[in-house]
Amino acid sequence: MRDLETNSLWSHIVGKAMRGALKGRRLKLLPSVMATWSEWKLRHPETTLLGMSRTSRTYKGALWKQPGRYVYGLHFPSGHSPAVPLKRLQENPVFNFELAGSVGLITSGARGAGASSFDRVVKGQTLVFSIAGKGIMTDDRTSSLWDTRTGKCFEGPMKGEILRVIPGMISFRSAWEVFFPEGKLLE
Amino acid sequence: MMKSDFSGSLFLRVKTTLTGLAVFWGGIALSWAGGEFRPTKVANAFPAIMNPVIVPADEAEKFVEADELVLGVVIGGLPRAYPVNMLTNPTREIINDRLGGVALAATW
Repeated sequence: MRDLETNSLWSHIVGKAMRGALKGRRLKLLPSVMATWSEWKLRHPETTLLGMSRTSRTYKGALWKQPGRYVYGLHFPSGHSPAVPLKRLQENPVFNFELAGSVGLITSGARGAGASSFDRVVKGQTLVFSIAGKGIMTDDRTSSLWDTRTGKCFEGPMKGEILRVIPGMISFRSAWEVFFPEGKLLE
Repeated sequence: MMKSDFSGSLFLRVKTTLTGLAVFWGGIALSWAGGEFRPTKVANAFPAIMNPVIVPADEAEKFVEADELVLGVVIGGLPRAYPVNMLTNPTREIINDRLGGVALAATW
């Protein structure tokens, strides 16, 4: 992509200017999730949405029937960009991991669609989460109950705490390997 | 654009307006791994999409079905969804938008 102000050329997957006056500058990545419309609207009934005409009809929940083609990639502030194969998330809807000092958690729907990623350090404690029901997980230290999609604790000693979102995205495995050649794949 | 770069992202814009352009890559894996940015051809930019049409959820039936994928973001307590099936054409891959006082670009 190009910015109109300086005509610099940017990578729209990395968010970095590759050529031009702004070369080397990075756009700040905003935490976002990918979900089906019904999942998103259920979590955020007051949501607004882009109202343009469709340019395709390809991207539906059924896309996740081909998990081998996709990974869930993360962007840590430290610069690490690890990725997890979607198949692993389908097998582990609450996926705890640790990499180079960064601890994280990826939660996903039954088919691996609609994944979200969080930091799992709360009040200086590193928590390990496990599934405790549909859309519910529990932590190993306080047995509190948390919403897997929002990262919010709704019952127990941690009630009211919200896990910090780590920016992440569903990506073609091949695209991730090209753009983040040093990004580790967590198998 | 690389046809296989299936990834949705949301970026904070700072005093920039972003527009899509067709970049044709030659041997991208090698050129990227070497740390060099070498597009073989850069086409003219498409018109930038600014101030896009935004609708409330109760008008969504016209625009999106239950199982279509969306890129979702919440800023300042305000949620917004960008249906992926509206972002896939090269002329559409970058949406300059504002939400909760923040200038952002939804990209595909």
